[in-house]
Amino acid sequence: MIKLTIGEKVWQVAVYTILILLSLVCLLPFLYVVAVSVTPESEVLRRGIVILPETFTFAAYKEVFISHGIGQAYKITLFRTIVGTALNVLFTVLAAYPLSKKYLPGRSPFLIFIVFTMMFSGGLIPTYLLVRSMGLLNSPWVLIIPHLISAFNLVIIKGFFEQLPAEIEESSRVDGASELQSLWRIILPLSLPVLATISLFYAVGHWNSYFDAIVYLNDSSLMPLQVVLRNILLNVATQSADSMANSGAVSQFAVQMAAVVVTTVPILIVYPFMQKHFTKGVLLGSIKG
Amino acid sequence: MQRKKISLLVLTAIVGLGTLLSGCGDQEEAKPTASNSPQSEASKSTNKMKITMFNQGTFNAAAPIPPREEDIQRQMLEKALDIDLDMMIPQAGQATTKLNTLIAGGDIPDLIFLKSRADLAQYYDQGVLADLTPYLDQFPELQKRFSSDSWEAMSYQGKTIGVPGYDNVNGMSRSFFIRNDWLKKLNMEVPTTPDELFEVMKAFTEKDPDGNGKNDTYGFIGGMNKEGNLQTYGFDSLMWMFGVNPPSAIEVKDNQPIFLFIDPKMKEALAYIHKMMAANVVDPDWVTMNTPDLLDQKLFKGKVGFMIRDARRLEPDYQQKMKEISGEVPEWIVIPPMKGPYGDQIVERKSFQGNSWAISAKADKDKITRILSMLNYLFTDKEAYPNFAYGIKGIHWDVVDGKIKNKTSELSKEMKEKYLWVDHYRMPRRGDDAEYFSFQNPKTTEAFTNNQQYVGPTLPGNLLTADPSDTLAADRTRFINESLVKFMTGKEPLSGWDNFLQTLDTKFDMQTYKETAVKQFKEAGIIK
Repeated sequence: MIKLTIGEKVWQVAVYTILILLSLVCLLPFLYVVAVSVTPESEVLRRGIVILPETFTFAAYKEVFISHGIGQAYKITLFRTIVGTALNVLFTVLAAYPLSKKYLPGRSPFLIFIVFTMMFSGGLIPTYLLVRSMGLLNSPWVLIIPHLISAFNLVIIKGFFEQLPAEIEESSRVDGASELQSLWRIILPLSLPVLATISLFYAVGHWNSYFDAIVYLNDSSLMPLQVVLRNILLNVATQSADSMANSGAVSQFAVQMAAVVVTTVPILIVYPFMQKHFTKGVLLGSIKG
Repeated sequence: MQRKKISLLVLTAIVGLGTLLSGCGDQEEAKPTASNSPQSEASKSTNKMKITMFNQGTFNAAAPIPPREEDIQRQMLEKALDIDLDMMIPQAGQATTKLNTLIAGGDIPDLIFLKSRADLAQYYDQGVLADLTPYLDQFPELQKRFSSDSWEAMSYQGKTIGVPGYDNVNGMSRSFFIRNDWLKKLNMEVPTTPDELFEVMKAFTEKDPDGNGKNDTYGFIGGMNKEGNLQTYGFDSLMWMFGVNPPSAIEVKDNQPIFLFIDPKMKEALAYIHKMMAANVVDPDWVTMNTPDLLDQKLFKGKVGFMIRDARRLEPDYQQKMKEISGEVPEWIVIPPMKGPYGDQIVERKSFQGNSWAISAKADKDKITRILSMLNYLFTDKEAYPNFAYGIKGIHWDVVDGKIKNKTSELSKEMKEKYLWVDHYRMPRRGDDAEYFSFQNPKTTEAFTNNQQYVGPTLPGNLLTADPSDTLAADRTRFINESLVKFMTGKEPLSGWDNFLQTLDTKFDMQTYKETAVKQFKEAGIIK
């Protein structure tokens, strides 16, 4: 045990206090959201700010799932997140792998063409026309196909593939592996950290995006979670001209907070699992010494 | 080597551009698949006309669109006019983006609901909308359905370019609520003038009307939104007692525009409100009241004796809420507005007919006539009225003793959820139809009906469209709002009023604004 001088002790205490305060600043709003979503309205109004509710009710969650069609929206969002991310990663890897080979003829024009799209885009209306002429309007695939490959993620993966020593691949070639085999068995297992990173980028992007759905889809049963959440938060149903909708027994505020919890928690849960890959992937690489 | 590289680059660029361009050029042959899937089979009959409808006028943009078999209102419209109706409901807040995308993509919807006169004028200027003037003579009933000032709002550059969207509701959201039990306890009468109101509010604050021995009650609470706008938050209603109102309220009298927010009478209104503030009659929380919900909570808690709220707060659901929150139900009653020193007795001015139905400029004569016939049917057919305004027969309404009875308020939550989409068709409902609102408390109906006589005529200032060269417009409005609040709170004494007017002229170019207003009023024929 190292003896601390008084000055150091004071310093330690100060550091801990500041850190605790900082983490509280980050945590409290989220706790408040969760607390409000499970507290009856009368208690919220009586006490002002609730962190630890005295009574619990799950009425707001029931309301969110039954009345606002979050179940259907969940299906769409899960579809676009799972299928979409899988396809995103597959196509990005398939595009990045050849482009990482320096001996590929015409590599740099391709690259310039791809990088060009990172800086200039066609804008909303040309994209809309393109999507329309491909017959994707009002199809769930419109949420996935137009953004199948992100140029930015492609460049990241390509960069990672390039810094892998060519010798590993050569050794697999000597053992008789084809291009695809060496990609699948040698390159990809080594690239887990970067794959985890870009999967997370893609997945979070899919989970959070709502604008493409609003522009390209008309069918309300195809709307993803974020569109429904937005409707609940903006209170669309009760804000219209002279809606007769009455909030009934459940408070609108609690419903909004429940919707926030329902839509945020799943993607929050993903992070710790991905974290594991970030460290593991780097440490377990086969390139040693 | 270098050259080869460059030529390859050029080649890829050309190929890429070619693909992009062909995407643009193909738009004619590639038919959009935007229509809802189940209907494509049924629409093959010969005479049927396909009509696409951009319905941002729906009363609930979050409600789903049901399949055609369940959608009784749609079937009615399609049968009555032999059309194939394809309705599109834009997501709330994104309607303009969606509409602009559709227009730029060449898919202009045939029938477009627009929310403001500014939109209507702008799209017409861009050549998106058709001039309806030559067709309207065929529809005298539709013309009768809306008042002449509603139709006036549809005219632009001497042409009628729209059909009024739907009736606005007046005499509902700005009702004068007062605690009747407190009045009784303090032996006071319902106030009828600003001075009486002040005495009542003062007594509510000082004489412990709830009898709990604590000094925790207030006479009044209002608020303002996050941008500092006082409209609809309570203080504006107090200002009407003196015949004035916060920015955007412009009246025309004797061939002159009168800017009600800088009218000399505004000084009196501000003095009155300042007197309230100085006497601590206004709940100090008023500064934080920036959403209507917060004011509702004050109403439910019942520690304030006089407020401006929606008459529907008298309904049983809200009474139940009050009981949950404060343990007892405060006896709120809705009273007529006070009569001011100049004889003004106003709940609010009739809302401007801002919303409208417009028709695509791409539609041919037949189509325009057919669409107008549809609107004519929707808005004037007596038998169809309850089907659109109230909902489905046997569920939302029924005939009881030969009279139509709206049963919407008796429906269970599950049933309401199941038929949410009837909200997409409610536009024909009349703004003063108490049956439509299906009030459960007869007092709500009474308040709503009584308020109607205190709804003043529409302010002509609503006809003005923003002048794009007026770069100070937003700053000016903010400055006026801020100054009004300063005068109200006493942060700036009323002796600074002339100074305020001068700053408006020198720094915020009020003169140009006035001239623009006069010019536009002249164009509209309001000023000769």
